Amino acid sequence: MSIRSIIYLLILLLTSIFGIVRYQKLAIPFKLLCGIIAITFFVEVANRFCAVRYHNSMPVYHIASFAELNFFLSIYYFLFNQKNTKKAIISLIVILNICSIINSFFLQPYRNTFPSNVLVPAQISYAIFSILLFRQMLLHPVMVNIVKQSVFWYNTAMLFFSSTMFLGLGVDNYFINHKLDYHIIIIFGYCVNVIFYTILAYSIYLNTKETHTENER
Amino acid sequence: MRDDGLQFIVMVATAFFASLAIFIIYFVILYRNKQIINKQEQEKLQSEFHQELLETRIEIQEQTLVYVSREIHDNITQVLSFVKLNLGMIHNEEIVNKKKVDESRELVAQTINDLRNLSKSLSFEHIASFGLIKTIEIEVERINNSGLINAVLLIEGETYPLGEQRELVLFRIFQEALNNTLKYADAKHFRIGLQYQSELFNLSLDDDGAGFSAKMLPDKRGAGLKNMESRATLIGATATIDSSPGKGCCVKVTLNPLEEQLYTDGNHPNRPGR
Repeated sequence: MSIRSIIYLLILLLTSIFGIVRYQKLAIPFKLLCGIIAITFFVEVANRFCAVRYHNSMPVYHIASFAELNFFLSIYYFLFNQKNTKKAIISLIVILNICSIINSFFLQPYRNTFPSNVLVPAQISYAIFSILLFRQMLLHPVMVNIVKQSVFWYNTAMLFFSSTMFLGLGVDNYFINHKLDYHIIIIFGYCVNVIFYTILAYSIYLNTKETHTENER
Repeated sequence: MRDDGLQFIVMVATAFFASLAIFIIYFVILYRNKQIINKQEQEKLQSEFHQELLETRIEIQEQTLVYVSREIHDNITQVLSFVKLNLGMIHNEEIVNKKKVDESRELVAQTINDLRNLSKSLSFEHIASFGLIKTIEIEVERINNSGLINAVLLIEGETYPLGEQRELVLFRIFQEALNNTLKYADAKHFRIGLQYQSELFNLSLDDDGAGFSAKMLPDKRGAGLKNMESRATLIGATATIDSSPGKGCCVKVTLNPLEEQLYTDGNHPNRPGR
């Protein structure tokens, strides 16, 4: 296992442990966030195990994308105040779950294909919801320094990650088509993941029930 | 060709991250501005609320004082007058101790007089009809007659009416200061200064009593002093209280008579006093 993989897994593990330690003090969305980070850690470990043992980790990716989708959208469900947005998130969760099941069995079979058909719309929805959450924050600002608000960091991480993923996909295709050194893309992916989970860890650190109450208004 | 493509990708990636960073920075700035605006609005609302609360409190206080004043005038003094009349109607031959009856009559007469004066000083209507200077003069006379303290009224400049509302508030501040002096200061002299200038009015209330340090004040007295400041704020004036142990106390109220007043309503019009 490479050093970058160890660093990445270590960040996931430490963030998960940190989240579990602070679990009682966290608000519901951040409890869910701890859950998805812990799941991601196990998924990454299982992914590497399956890759070595069975030379195929696609089923793990399918399960991971399914879990990620439900957790991240549920977090947004709890962070939004408007009923219409909450309804839209629930509808989206139902639709994407159905699509995800159909995709895993018929379009991109879980045995050998990466579930990009599910990940792309999910990333689009994260980007849209993060912008909407920024809008909500602007409409109802709280009297807490913005850099000390867990929601701000969570949302920044989500916008960064989801938008970077589009860039990643585009660059990915270019590198494959032109048979360039794919090594850079892997490092880029690791960097993005490390930054993403570090920011999420910081948002968990900032979050307490009190600050969340203020953000919920 | 490959290098060009790679360069293009690096440029796109750089532009992308720069845009993301600009977006986040812009959001932070926007958010902070919103926070400032919200804070200002909240402070404004809070100050308006406090202003209204103060107005209502003073309104209720005034109504109570008017009620007490009327009760004293219409009820208690009437009963005492009747008692005085009855004492006067007792024939000399019926009285065992004539001297005691005469003393009682005098005491009742004095009580009636005191109560009438008290009724006048409590009632807004009396202050409105007499004006600030006359009302303070009556109060000074009453205090001097009581022998509790030697009060002096000094007027500087050409007098002008300040408006019923402002005069009432100034009179209440005067009463509060006098009350404090009588209760706590153990002073021998009390000086009331009214300074009329074209764009400035000053009310100064000095005593030569024990004085105090703000830290040593009990809550009740501190509240009284705060009350004076609040009342002054209500009419757009500023009140300063200057005192130190052994050096007496000086209350100064300064206002611009030409400035528009905050505290006006239908019941207490802000027209010049008579």
